[in-house]
Amino acid sequence: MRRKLPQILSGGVVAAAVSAAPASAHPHVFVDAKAEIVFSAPGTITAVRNIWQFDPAFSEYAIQGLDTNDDGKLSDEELKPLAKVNVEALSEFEFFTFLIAGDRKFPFVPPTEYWLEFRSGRLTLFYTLPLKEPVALQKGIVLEIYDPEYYVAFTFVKDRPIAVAGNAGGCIAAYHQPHELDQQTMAALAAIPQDERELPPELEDAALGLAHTFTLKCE
Amino acid sequence: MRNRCAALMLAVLALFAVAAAAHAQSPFGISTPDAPRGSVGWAGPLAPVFAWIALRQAEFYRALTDTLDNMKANGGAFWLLAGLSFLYGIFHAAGPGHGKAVISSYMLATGETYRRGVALSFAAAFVQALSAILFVGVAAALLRATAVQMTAATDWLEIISYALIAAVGAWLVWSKARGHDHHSHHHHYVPAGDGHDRPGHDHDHGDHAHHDHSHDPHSAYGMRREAHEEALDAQHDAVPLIEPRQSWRRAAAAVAAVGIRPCSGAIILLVFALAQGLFLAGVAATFVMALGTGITVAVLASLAVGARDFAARLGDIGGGRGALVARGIEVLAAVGVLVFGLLMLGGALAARG
Repeated sequence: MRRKLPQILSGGVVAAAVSAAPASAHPHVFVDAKAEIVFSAPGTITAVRNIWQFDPAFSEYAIQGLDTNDDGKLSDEELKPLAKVNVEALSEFEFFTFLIAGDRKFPFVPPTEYWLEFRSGRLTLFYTLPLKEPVALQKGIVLEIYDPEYYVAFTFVKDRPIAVAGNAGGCIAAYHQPHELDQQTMAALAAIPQDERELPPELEDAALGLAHTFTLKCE
Repeated sequence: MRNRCAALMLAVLALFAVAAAAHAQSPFGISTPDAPRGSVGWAGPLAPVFAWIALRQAEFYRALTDTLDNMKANGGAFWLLAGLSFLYGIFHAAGPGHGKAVISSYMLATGETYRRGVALSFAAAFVQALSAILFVGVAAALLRATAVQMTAATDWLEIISYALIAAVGAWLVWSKARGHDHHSHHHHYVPAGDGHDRPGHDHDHGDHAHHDHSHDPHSAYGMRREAHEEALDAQHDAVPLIEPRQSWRRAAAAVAAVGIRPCSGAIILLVFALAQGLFLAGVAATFVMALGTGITVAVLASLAVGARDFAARLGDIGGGRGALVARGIEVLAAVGVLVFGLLMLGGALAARG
């Protein structure tokens, strides 16, 4: 028994050294966001419109070398190729936009309507994300917008973070903030025994509480 | 015993496999994240810890770019910028990223001392800062490259980095296989960091024959002190089998392998600084950031060395197997560096199609 201990420990040392390593990235992109839910008829959703304003640093990074005619301004023409790169790359990430009801996830199709604007040092991406099929409002349906791995940090603007568009009738949408990890949660996490593989559900929620959530209601 | 080693090896390989399953991609098609998505950190039991570190990093990074933005009007903000860069560097390295894993594993594989580990950690951090500065200086300032072109270039640097890591791993495994490296099975384990950290000094303990003591379980404890003294003498007398120059060359290769791929955060910060006409402030901030990163990596690398020594000491208590334990860790770590490099290289090449 005594002899087994060192071998187990040494394995643990190496495993710890490597497992700490290759996890995901930290945010380098900060987005001030706004969303619109598009209705074709009261109670039927057809698309989500996203308006994402990037932080100044990422904006400068994104636009470098794009002012090809050197007029100090970025025309739609000059920004178009970047907008295309943006939405094409976003499709690999489900556009960070998830419409769900319970276990069901309603798929979107890649946007055809999209553009970028650059004003006072900030780049803003506008795009309309159509649902594959119109979705009828149902119990427990929520829209979530977030990067589950937090490379992109979303913040929803205080003034009208969500709006409805189209033939919405009496339908309204409400915004709910993600709950971030606080000191108390961290203390609770530290108290979990080492051999515990599964997190208690309330802590799992806290760990993954990066989602900006929107609920929908029709009068 | 052999089965357990094999099982451990498999466990380590499985971890690497998970790590390499998803290659880093950028959600906006520009500025590739430093680490792959969908990997260990966000799935394992440590997920909340990484989430917390990521949140802190986000705050520092945001404050950093905001401060740079304000510096146009207020030059005194430079000290705030330097302080934030330092804190960001510390948290940046505490979060996920393969650099510290490779450095720590390299430390384990080579049986390096604390002092060398600290030097390597800082060297890697500064090489990475330098590569970011050179990269932005050439690509953005001179060539006026677009973000899409710069991302393609960093993706290539990343591939080169993984290839170099695999090469360093292969080198380590090869020297382990030839037995021209470090602790021999027959000798009592002497922990690193006892002041014998001249380059090339911490290798094989010569051919002293106290192994016949440690093979006798009954006399193992009684012989321990004597064996220790002999081992210490042996260390002083040891003729290094690896030339110091070769050991330094290998260390330099490890540092270059890790540092050649500039971190995305530093690139964005430098491009932003350039756009504000504050490139020199950005350069200074990048170096201060490297100082913070170096501190964290040095602490982690030292922990790895300490843990190895501790395991080896436990091995001694458990029947004179300290050297064997140390040797096992070294071989595992060497194989780990090789496999990690290969898997990441494969993933990166596959992602390019």
